[in-house]
Amino acid sequence: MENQFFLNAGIQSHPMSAWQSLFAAMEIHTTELNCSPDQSQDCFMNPNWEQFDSALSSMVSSPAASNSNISNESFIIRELISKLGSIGNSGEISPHSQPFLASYINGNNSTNTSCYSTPLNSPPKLNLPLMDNLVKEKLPSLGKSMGLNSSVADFSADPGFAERAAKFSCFGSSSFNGRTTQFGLNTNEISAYRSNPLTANVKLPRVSSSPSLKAMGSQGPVAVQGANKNSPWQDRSELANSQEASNVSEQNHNGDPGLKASKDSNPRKRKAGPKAKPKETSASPPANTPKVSELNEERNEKRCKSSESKGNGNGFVISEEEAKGSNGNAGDEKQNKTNNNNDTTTKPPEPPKDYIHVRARRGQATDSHSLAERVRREKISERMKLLQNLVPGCNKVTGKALMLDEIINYVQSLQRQVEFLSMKLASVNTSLDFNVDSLMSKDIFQSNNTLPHPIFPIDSSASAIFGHQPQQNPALQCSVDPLETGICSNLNTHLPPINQFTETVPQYPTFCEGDLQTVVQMGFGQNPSQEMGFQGSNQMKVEL
Amino acid sequence: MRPPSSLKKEFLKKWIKGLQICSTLKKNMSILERKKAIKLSADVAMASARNGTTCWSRALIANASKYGSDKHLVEQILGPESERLTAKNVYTGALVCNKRMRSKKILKRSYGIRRTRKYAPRAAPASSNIAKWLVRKRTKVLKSLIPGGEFMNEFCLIEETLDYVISLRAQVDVMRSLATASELVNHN
Repeated sequence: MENQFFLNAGIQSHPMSAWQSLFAAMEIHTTELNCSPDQSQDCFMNPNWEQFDSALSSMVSSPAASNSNISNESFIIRELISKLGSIGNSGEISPHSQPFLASYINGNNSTNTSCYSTPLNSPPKLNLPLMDNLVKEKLPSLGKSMGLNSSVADFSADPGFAERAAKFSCFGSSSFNGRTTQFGLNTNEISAYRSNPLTANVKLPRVSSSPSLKAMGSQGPVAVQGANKNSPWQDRSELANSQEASNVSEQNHNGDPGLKASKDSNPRKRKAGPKAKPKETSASPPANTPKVSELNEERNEKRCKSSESKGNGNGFVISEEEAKGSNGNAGDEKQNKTNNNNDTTTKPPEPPKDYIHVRARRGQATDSHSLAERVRREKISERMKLLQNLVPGCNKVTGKALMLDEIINYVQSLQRQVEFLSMKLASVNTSLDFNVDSLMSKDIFQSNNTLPHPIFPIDSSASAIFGHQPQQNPALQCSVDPLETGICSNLNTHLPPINQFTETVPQYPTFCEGDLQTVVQMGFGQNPSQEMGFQGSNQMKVEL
Repeated sequence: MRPPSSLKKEFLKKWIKGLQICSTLKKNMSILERKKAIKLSADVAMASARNGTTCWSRALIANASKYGSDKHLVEQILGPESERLTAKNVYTGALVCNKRMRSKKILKRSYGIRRTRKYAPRAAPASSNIAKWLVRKRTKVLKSLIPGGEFMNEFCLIEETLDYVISLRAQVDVMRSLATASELVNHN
């Protein structure tokens, strides 16, 4: 019974709004598609889209307002699923939708976890074959591809959301603990969203994507990811970066006062330590659960690429409670010691507090300065890890100095490339009048149509340039692939030139114009699909 | 965060707009002038694609609009946002950061002086000190590379580097594709 309630409640707030955003985005796409029926390849995708869209758009208007009505939404969800199933039977999405339908319609308690995950899994799965094509081909709407992210922003700014979030946090104790695996993720988002309106900065969409991104890595996707998962090939470091950026921005908004506040809070924390002990030894679950969930969430927020799954989080929770129970009578002021080596930061349940509570690790100094230093160092090391993934060839390098070396080389090479390319453009075009229409030619299109999926041009004037883009994009995404191997394994099949393109990226270590011919041959020659274009450029360079 | 494709799209739009403005402003430019114009409009387009959310973009725009000849171009490219993005915000922020850095440096120097007065003999450079010195040197170089980097602390610097690398990559991709496209057209 309670399970069912959670299931419905879970579905109530997240999937619908996530799906709304999906619908909104897809509606935009379909309208754009209909506007530009230029290419014959469009026809392949259009029918599916229209069916999909017609079925789903009928759902959009009804749940739009009634987010609070559980029964209404469960009915809507069932209706939606049946419609999806009907489309699935006719289209290519059947393999995805069938297991989804079967598992959902059973709806038993025994399959509760799967039920919870699959309905939320399905939108991304269903959308993946369709959406990723679109998304990858530079979605039809210039700047409306923001539809996904901006809708998430709207979602997070939903005024009713805070109430729902409060509802979640107030849920019963034991069942909640048992559900940290599933709902810990929700509390991630909830507290993230809770804190967001307070920081009130533009970075709402970024923060909202981050917990879902981490949950992607650790567990099955949660609702909001429905919107974000449509572009899972997004530069993951970007997202993680954005999450860290938002964390930092939160902290930086206080700037130094924030650090000072944390230092001030530390003596306060010590005082709270003994107080916390009797609280925890009494093992009052309601008091624990927000803390527990926040511990989980804090850890997740701190580690963007943590390999800890939610299982770990649970394990930590249990061991912490045990430890507290055993230490409860010790009367030890060093409540700060934890029995596992995980670094934990706890935020008070009330959102408005912006400073960071840091717990000293076992055997380490506990004064405020060193704690702040440690926080700072960890932040920096996390960012360096992100940079490591972004800069090619940095994975084997350990140590800050060497990594910084690589980063410097890479940035310098990129800047030199820009210079060189601008010089080349200046020489190729006698005037700066880049008449984009004239750049449209059959040759260009033919050289780029090695990719299986169709290209969806937005502006006819820019279509020639974007004809190149699909193959340029994999280069950008490829460097992120090592991070998302699990997620991208499906997508890699759609992008054959990926492997070839990844090799080009590390080929620009030192790029001076004297060596440009050799480097260009190295970089460009490896991609056979673009041989035509690039060999032309090789000859051009010889003339230069 | 925005997907790279939309970043490229925005960048391309603004870049082409800037190039068209350039060509209307001045006819018969030499090759070097053209290159400069191309690069400038590309940089400004890339920075404005970030919409003032990152420090390096603001610094880049501020630097570009410092000199009178380019200022006009920058303003035209940015359009209505130029007021928001240019000089004032960046310089005030930079000044504040600068002051903070300067005061920190003065403080550190005073500590060092106090210490040397107490302990005359200098300890042999430990390995950790060497490592720190290396890192410090590298961060100095990185600061010189990233636009507006001199005013950032280490953490902001790494963040800005991340963002800057992503934007640079997108810029390079777009420019390369445009270059090859125009070459193909010229060949035929």
